[in-house]
Amino acid sequence: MSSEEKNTTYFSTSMGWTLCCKQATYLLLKKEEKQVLSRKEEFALKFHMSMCKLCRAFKIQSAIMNEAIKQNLQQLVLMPQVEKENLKTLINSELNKY
Amino acid sequence: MSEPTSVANVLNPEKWIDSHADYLYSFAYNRVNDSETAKDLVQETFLSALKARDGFKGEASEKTWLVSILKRKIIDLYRKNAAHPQQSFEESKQYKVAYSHYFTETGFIKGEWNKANAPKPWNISDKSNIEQKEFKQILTACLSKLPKMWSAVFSLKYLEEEESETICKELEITSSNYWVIIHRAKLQMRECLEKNWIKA
Repeated sequence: MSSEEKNTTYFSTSMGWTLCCKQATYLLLKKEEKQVLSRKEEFALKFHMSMCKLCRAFKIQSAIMNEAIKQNLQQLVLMPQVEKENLKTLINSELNKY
Repeated sequence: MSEPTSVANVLNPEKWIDSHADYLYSFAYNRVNDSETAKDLVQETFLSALKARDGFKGEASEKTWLVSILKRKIIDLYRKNAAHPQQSFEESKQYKVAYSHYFTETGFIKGEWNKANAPKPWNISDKSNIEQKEFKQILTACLSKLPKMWSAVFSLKYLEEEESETICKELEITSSNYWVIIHRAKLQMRECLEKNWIKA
């Protein structure tokens, strides 16, 4: 079992009606991706979130990050003209082969 | 009454550079954050497309078809980088911030936020804050500090918006591993942004 999987075991075996912040943030991210949580997990997460302002801050910041990644990493960056010319030459020479 | 015939999409390789080079380059650059790699990916895309053009059925537009080839190449690159990271083992270890950095592992209650590294309020008044050029630089720098596998998972999820099942299949990781990676990567990104941008 890899160390990553041991972490997951930790999440699944120790989870009762109350969650710690480590478990809550893990479940929050699953929920963010529309994964279906069990009733017990849903209840425990809701309860934890109502009590924990740090995890509520994490939830808001996670949403901000998602939005920021979409906005900032989808900008138009132009290909340098010289590279375009080189590519044009390459494509034309390839086309002439056929 | 007969169905109207749809106009089939056709390929026009002579015009590929003028019509699609900027879009494809931009698409690649935003995902690999390196101009040389982006240029190589676009070149490989065009060459592969030329070879495969006889198989183009015209069901999708030329642009969609070229993007799908480029996407495939980017995923191959992610997979290659994840399997053979250029980061040394030591560097990779350094980049991987341990869970214990964020959550307590001893004491009466385990797994609570460590006070020093817990989320602080981000006073972001409106969207314009995250549209600044400076923010983009910090975001890319934070992404590049993730271990290669995490960065691959993160990009596929948040940029490509791929389903978790697809990502696991592409990168040959288990579902449990996937969620732990997402969790740790998000914690690390959050902290990096908070330190370098929010407080700046």
